[in-house]
Amino acid sequence: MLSVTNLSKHFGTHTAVSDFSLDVGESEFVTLLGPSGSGKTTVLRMIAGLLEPSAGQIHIASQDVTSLPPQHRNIGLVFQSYALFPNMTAWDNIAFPLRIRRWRAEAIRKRVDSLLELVGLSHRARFHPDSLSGGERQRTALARALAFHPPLLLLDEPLSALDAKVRQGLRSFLKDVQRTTGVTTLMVTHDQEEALELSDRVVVMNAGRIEQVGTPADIYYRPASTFTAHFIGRVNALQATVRAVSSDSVVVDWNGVLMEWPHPVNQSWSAGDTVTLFARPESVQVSPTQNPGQIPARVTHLSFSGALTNVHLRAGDTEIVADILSSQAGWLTNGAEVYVNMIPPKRAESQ
Amino acid sequence: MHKWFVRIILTLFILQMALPVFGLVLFTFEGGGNFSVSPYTQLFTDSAFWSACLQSLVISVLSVALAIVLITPAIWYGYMYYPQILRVIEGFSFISFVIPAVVLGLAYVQFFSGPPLALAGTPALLPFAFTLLGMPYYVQAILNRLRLMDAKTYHDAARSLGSSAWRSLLQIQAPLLRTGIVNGSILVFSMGAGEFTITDLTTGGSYTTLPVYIQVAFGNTPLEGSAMAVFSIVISALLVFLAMGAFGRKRREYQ
Amino acid sequence: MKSKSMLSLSIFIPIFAFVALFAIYPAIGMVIGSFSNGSHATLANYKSALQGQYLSAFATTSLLSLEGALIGIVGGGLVTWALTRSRLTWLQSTLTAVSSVMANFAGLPLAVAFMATLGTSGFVTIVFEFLFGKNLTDLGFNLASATGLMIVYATFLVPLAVILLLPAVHSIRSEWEEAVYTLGGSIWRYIRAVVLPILTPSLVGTFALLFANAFSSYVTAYAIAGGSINLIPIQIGYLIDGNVTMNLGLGDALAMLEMVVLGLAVVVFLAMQRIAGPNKRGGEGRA
Ligand SMILES: Nc1ncnc2c1ncn2[C@@H]1O[C@H](COP(=O)(O)OP(=O)(O)OP(=O)(O)O)[C@@H](O)[C@H]1O
Ligand SMILES: [Mg+2]
Repeated sequence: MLSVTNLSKHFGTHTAVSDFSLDVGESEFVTLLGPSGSGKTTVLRMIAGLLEPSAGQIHIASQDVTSLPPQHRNIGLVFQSYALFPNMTAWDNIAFPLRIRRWRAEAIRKRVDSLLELVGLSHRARFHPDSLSGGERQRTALARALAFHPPLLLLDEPLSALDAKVRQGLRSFLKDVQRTTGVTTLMVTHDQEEALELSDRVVVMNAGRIEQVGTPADIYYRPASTFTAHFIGRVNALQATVRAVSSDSVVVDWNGVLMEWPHPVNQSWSAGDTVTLFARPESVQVSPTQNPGQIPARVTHLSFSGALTNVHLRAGDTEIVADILSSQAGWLTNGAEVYVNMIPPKRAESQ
Repeated sequence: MHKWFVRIILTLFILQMALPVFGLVLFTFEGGGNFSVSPYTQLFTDSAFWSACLQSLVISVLSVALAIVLITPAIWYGYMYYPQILRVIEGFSFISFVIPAVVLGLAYVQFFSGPPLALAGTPALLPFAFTLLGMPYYVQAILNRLRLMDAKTYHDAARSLGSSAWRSLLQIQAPLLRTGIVNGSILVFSMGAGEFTITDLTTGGSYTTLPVYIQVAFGNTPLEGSAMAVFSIVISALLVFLAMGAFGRKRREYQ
Repeated sequence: MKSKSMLSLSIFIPIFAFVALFAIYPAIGMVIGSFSNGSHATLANYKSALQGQYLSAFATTSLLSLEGALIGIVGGGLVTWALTRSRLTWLQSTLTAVSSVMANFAGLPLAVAFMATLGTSGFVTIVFEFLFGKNLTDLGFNLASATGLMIVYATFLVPLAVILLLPAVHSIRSEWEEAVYTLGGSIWRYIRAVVLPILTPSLVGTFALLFANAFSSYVTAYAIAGGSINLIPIQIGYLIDGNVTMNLGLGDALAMLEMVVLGLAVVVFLAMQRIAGPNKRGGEGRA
């Protein structure tokens, strides 16, 4: 559906995006996730045609649109600030792209009314943007971007201007709308939770480059780089030595304990290498007596955070954080001698 | 393409603004046939010129003082408690757009020429007239500042700490309003320093401010008159840049 | 409680006393004067103010002012647009300052500046003759004409329009333009459907103020055109200066009529300002 190859953008001497390639399938929901300034908006604007790439090609439905002006790309774009026209009501904002396309008045009325229904704003149709709430504006902007049945929808941090509660509600709303309309969607965000919850695939960006592309589970459990591992959630980084390599897994030695670990997605490990394993806090098991495959550790600090208790441990010279269900953490005390092991992540799903 | 359009428009605008001023400056230097700075040396040694400057300064400073004392408290208090009255004052402030200078002069000559207010023929009317002319600008300068600094919150805080309304105005609001007052004052000052018509009509030529003297000088020694005009443009440019400085400070405080 | 509200309202006394004495009292005096011939009530002043040279002065002044306001709004609009498009902030602030100075550049100094520039021995005239071998006067140009006066007026009306339009043009956000493009519209669609509707109140209000400003120009007009163009402020000036036999009643009537025209323009300006008011911006996420 959307195919981007070797896209780069330079502003003077500054490189905002370099060598960005991505294929997005029909009806897929893909997010660009990365810290501020990593080039997400720049990529989106180049795809929309608002910014000219320094190099690379963009194909939409196998048509080369790289030098097509935005008017002719037929892409729905929701701006971070919504960019609703203040001189038009919500209804007229949504009708705007249809009027440009010279739809018949009756068809416009039908389409706008059904969109307003879809986004739950039928009762606010006659209001101007400045008398709509943030969430209502957001939904109006979404309806406007979808009005002309664009095959591709681009969203630039669509939820970032909203408060936490509205945001949570709109997140599932957005997913519903995407599912019902089946529109191919590329969304920009710097909120990892949002990315993991909504996407079929996540593209992690850093300093203008792609760090990793994968399913939310891939990104979360099998980060391909230290950057990805640390950018998404908290993580334990463990130094280990590779002992044996098989077709899709490796055997590693961590502090004298042998573990079977999935082979990382885009690195090649061989026996004898010293490698870094990433384990999420909820993948750390803690027990009072030593089971096979566990190593001794000492509790240095406990902090209660509702459902989970964060247990800070020291094993040899490695700091480990474990998340234990609070209901099962009653026996843990500061300074206690305990035994820990890691649950290895599942193998990567075939892509 | 539209980059060029922008450049062309701005270039034309700069030319439009610069050419007449350049023509005036050139005239002062070459009006006598060959290059000479004598209009300026003459000007700066002309004691009548300095006394005209002084007269203008006195009248303009009086107008500014009058504007500050008359307008500031009313605008501030209306903004706080009486928005309807504020609207009326704001409406009145535009009176000077409705009464052109020549008409105001005509009116003053007619109605302030006999007792009890026999002010025509003296400069006594001028500060009032200039305050009236500067009122729309002064009112807007104060209002902009009030809106920007969230005066209501400060005032409530002061009142909640037990301070009286007057005390709140003088001790808390006035310092915060300072940039608004300075900006408004600069506008009233430039208005007063450049006014000719009303001055000429109401004083009957008996009071020589700078614009009046420029007018006189144009008749007798055009080169010196032009040099004075250049001088007054320079002064008003300085005033505008001063006001912009105050604006810049305002922006910095609130970002 | 009562004494407090008396005290608080007393703060408004000085300003109202000032406006009453120095604006309303003389205005009322002029209304009365315009209906009297010195001893008794009459409509004669208005009769003569609305015929002959005075009527044609109204027509000429209105026409010239409309023309000047049009030149001001088009020129000022273009310059404002170009200013907000230019990314050089120093240029923006310098030209804004220059506009404030030039919007107040009027009267005899302005007239002399133009005589030194476009007059018969003005430097542009001389440079033009040197470059093209033609004298501007031979080409039919005359500074002391309606065209000349328009050129002079434009020197303060264009920068005045810039100052008045700048806030409204600044409130137009570049995303709106981009949004129109991604929705399939052209730049013309953007101008017609977004820019013009948003700017209309400011444009109309500014036009009204430019018109009022041109209409009430006196010294500049007199210095440039002298008696050769029949303008209302010049006619009023004559009546006071005694060029014509001093006729205060007629002067008052002319002044009243001029004030009605200006008052209408200012009312339009104020109404438009209210429409374009601060809560008509909208569009960005405020949540
Ligand atoms: N018009 C421009 N001129 C110069 N540099 C730019 C321009 N637009 C973006 N940049 C730079 O390019 C880099 C990437 O910017 P971009 O807006 O794509 O980041 P982002 O990932 O969207 O960040 P955020 O999450 O803060 O929105 C930044 O360093 C930015 O400063
Ligand atoms: Mg961004």
